[in-house]
Amino acid sequence: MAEGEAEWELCKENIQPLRQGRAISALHQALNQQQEGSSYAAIQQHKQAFESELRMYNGDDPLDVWDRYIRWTQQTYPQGGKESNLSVLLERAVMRFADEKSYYNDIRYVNLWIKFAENSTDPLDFYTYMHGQGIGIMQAAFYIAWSEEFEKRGNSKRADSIYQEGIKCGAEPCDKLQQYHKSFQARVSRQVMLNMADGVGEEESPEAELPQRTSLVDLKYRGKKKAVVPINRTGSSVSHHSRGLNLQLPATTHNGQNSRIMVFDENKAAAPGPFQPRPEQRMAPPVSRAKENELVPEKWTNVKMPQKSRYGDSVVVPPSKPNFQPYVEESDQPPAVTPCKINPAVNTVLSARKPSKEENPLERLQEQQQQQVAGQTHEQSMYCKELLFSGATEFSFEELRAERYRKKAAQEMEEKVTELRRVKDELRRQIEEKEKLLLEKSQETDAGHQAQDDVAESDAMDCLPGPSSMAHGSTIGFKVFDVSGASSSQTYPPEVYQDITSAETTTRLEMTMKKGAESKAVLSSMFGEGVSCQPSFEETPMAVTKPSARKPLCAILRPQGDELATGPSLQNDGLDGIEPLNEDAIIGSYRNKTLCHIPDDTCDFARAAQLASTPFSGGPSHRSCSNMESGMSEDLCTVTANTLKDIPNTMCAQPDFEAALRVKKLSPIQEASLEDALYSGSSASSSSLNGASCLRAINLSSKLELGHSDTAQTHKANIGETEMEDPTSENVRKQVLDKIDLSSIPNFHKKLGPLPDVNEHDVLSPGDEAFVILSGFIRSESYMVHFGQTESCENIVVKVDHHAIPWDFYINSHLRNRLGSDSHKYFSDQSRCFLYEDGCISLSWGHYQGTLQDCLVRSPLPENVAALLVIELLEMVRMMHSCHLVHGDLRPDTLLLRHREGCEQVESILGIVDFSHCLDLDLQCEVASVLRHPGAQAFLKQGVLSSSSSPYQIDLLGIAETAHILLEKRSMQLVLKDSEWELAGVLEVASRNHDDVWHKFFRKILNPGSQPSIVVLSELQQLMKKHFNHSIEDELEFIHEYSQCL
Amino acid sequence: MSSTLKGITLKGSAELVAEFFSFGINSILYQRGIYPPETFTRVTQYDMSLYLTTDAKLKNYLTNVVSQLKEWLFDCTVQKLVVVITCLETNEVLERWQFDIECDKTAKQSSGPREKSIKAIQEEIRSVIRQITATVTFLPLLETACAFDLLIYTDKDLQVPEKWEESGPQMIADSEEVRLRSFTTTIHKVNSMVAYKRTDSM
Repeated sequence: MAEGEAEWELCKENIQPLRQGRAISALHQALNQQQEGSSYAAIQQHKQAFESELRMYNGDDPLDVWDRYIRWTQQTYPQGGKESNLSVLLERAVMRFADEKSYYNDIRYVNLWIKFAENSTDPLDFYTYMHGQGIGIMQAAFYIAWSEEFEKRGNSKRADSIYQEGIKCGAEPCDKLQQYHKSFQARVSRQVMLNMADGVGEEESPEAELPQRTSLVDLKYRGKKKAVVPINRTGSSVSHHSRGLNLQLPATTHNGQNSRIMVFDENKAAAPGPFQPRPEQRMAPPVSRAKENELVPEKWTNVKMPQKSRYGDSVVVPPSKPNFQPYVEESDQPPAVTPCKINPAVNTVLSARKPSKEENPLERLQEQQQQQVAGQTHEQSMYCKELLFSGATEFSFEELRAERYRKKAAQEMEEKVTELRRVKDELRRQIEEKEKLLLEKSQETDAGHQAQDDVAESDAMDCLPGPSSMAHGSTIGFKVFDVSGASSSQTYPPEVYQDITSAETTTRLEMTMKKGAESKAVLSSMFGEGVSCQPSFEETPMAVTKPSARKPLCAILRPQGDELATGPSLQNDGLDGIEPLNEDAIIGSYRNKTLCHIPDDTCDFARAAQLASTPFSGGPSHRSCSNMESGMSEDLCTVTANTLKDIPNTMCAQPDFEAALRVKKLSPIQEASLEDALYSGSSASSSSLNGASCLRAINLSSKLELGHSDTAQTHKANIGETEMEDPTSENVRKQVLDKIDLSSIPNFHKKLGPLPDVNEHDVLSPGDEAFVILSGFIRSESYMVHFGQTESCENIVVKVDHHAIPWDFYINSHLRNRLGSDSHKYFSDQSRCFLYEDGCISLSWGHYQGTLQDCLVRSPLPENVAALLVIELLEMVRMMHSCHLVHGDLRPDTLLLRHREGCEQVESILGIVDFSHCLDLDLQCEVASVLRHPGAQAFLKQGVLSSSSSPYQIDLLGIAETAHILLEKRSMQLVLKDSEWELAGVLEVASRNHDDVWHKFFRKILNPGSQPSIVVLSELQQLMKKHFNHSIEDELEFIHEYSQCL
Repeated sequence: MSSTLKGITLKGSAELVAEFFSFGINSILYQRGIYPPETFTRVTQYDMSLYLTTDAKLKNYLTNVVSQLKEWLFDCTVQKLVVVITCLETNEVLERWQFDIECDKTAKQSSGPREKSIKAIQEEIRSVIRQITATVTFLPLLETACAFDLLIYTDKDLQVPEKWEESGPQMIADSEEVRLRSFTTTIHKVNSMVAYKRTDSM
């Protein structure tokens, strides 16, 4: 706080000291407001917020709001005064809870009363009243305030008795009361002592010895040129020659608090008995002492008019009218009768000030209570009076309503957001499901064309959710858009939609959405229109005039849809949509009359467009929405259509489908013309619908169609991105690697020219070092992995990749980075990469004997060794998972066995060099499920993995598969038993005593549940280690034997 | 000290500052009601009425502290003087008046007087004391019996004199701080600040 901020010092006289002190920041704000008025509105708004909170509060502690409000007022209006409205507030607060006995001994309520009393002219009346009512009789603060009031008036006897009364009643906190009592007694006794010392007879109190300033006296000034008043303004400096009024001022005014005389007088006057609180209620209100210039009533009977006459005659001259006009300042106009009570800056409601009779607040309170005691409520207000008047200011009904509305709106908004979130999840899930279906479908078609039809049929039967549930799901999907459109203030991240459509479509959708007005009723019609896509497009016009024609049409359409798995569901959606629409159509007839009254009106244009596209989608209020809907339905249709079309292997289905699409595309025009004909035919009934508007409708519909095909094309272009891609694909990896600077990694070399041919026994020298290619052990369509040897006879693994993406090299180097020295255990400690224009060669150092598969083929594997290999495998995968890498392709074919090199200490026997299917989930954080991973497809089909499974689960299954092959030499067969996956058969090799362990192992690894893979892996490791003695020597021995076999 | 003196020396400065503290501490003790008001008497200083304690023990204590302080001021080894007001019963720190003293140590070498009239300095001191008095506008009422303590922060290598002991800073947790005016004699600069327990009301 800067030194300069000393407003408080300049205004110190106008700051009421508070018992609890003031927050300096609030003080600064308040004083600034006084000076600048900039924060005035803010304060008023804060006040208004408190006011509405008073009314809207529905918790169980309404006093809390009042308490906060009053404390805030005290802090915000340091000068108090009328503006703060504090006395009104206090009165209202005190009255408000006057009936609630539960608050009577609440310290907050008692403090309100004490504040109220202190603000009034005669606090003692209030304290007596409080005592009579039993307010605060258990609160020490009450007795302290009461007693201090007496002490202030010099009645120390009564003050003392109040303390005693409080202690007797057991007011809390007791020690505070006692402490105050003690210090009170100390004050009194000190005074008595001083008096004793000075001599009782002396009238002057010690304070009186000190000079005291007198009010309204002239001061002697010093200085001749400039009059300067002295610092000491007492005693000699007071000038005694009076001018003008000769006031008979007392020489010394008694300081009430320190006045000894008063104390003694009161003690003498007061009855020496103990204090008896008056038990009766104060029936007579305390006299209002607030008024100034009050006439004291006196006898008038003997008063004579003073008759003074210079000439002695007794004629009373009647006062004549003054013969002069008193001058009145122009600006001195009396205030308007109805001043604006409510500040127009905050509140636009005007209210006339009602003339109210002056009343003592206590009087009012008592009146009110008497009424209640008598049980006579003469007046019963038939409106929410207590709400309008409950605060310090008056509210209007409109304000209350607005407040309620806002509250409701806020609540609805919140609900909507939660609903939206739920729906979003649902939608995503459904999309995944659909994609999974499509995938399966594509695999099915892969399998063989002949079986295709049957499979598709059964797939659709088995895997599709029932038509009704599907329709339901889609409805929810559309609700999402509607809601987000309606509450356009919220922006949803585009990722939400990314699954369905490209970013471009998203913005399109959102834009259309924003046009939509908020209307729940729309939902039902949207349901039909949005979901029904093109089929309903075709049908609805027909439905108007010939409702009976609907079903046949549907039946005709069905075969087209059947080409695709999702066909039936779409069909059904269309059907569902029609039912409510039909009703609309009946009611909708009145709408035709209102349409097209003014042909030039652009609104008609919009309406006509709607007529052309979705004629019966709801009442007039829904038009804008319907427009939006139709746009949406098109978008969605094309998206769906394109998603379907994009399956690469549904070649046989595609032409048909495309034909169907084409037919559908044309249909709106056909329908529109048909509609035109129908309307002109029925124009007798709907007179206002003339031919021109119909023509316009046709034009519009064709335009719509054009737009439609445009969007269709853009979607086709975008569809590659929109669809969830195989995370191991070339494109994805390219994008991922674009994010990082590969050339910063050592041993990364970029080479010009094409990838050289690599054959066995070739010598390659891409860098400064030449190496010889030895036997290849992994072959795939796009890459090959060979053993190799460098010039210096170091053993390497050479991977020749026909994609120019150095993924393996990247993974290798990152494994080293992330694992540090641990990486040597299973992964190669050195790697090098040569990136060509159309491929790359990655070298990784390490001496391997061959794949695990080779080993399995050649020699039987004892169970113990298998177990040890599994333990190593678990450890290796755990290490990878700990750096967020998923291998994705764990098989005996991809696992390498290390070469035993003399007596060198070997930590592990397994190694891995091929990361073709690896995922880096740090970089590819968007990959949240296994859905597109090639390694997961078989499991997805089986159902072992679901579309929501974590990618890490691929590796778990890979381990399970490898373990099974190690034990049984065949792939595992899984069955679902009691919602858990199990091995189909019994393990044959497993010895009796380890049967149980393996059983546990497979159960755990196949059903990891929601546990993180790392936890699962380490648990499995522990399980295995507990039952199998892990010793690297056993393995080595075995491997040694194996290598001798070679 | 005659007010006709034009410059100010280190010795004079130390005396002035020590005098300020004597009156300042008395003012605080009176204003905050640490001692009963009857035990104070009014004197005129700095062209205004100030209260000085008449309590012999307190007077003695303050004289001791101030004379020691004067020595340190002369040595330019003092950094801060803090008046800590604690609750007598709970020992909780309720208020903390902190006077940061910046000493110009070069004044020790060059003995020449600085250009600043005593009048100007006293004018500054007056405004500080006035502000101390004015703080009642926002300081919370000290509702319990209170005691006070004087802390003096000095340079590290200083030997602790007899009857003095080392103490912690006695800070107030969760406090409001208000910076007050400062004054300078060109050799010593005193920045004042008061910290008090934050009110729970807002």
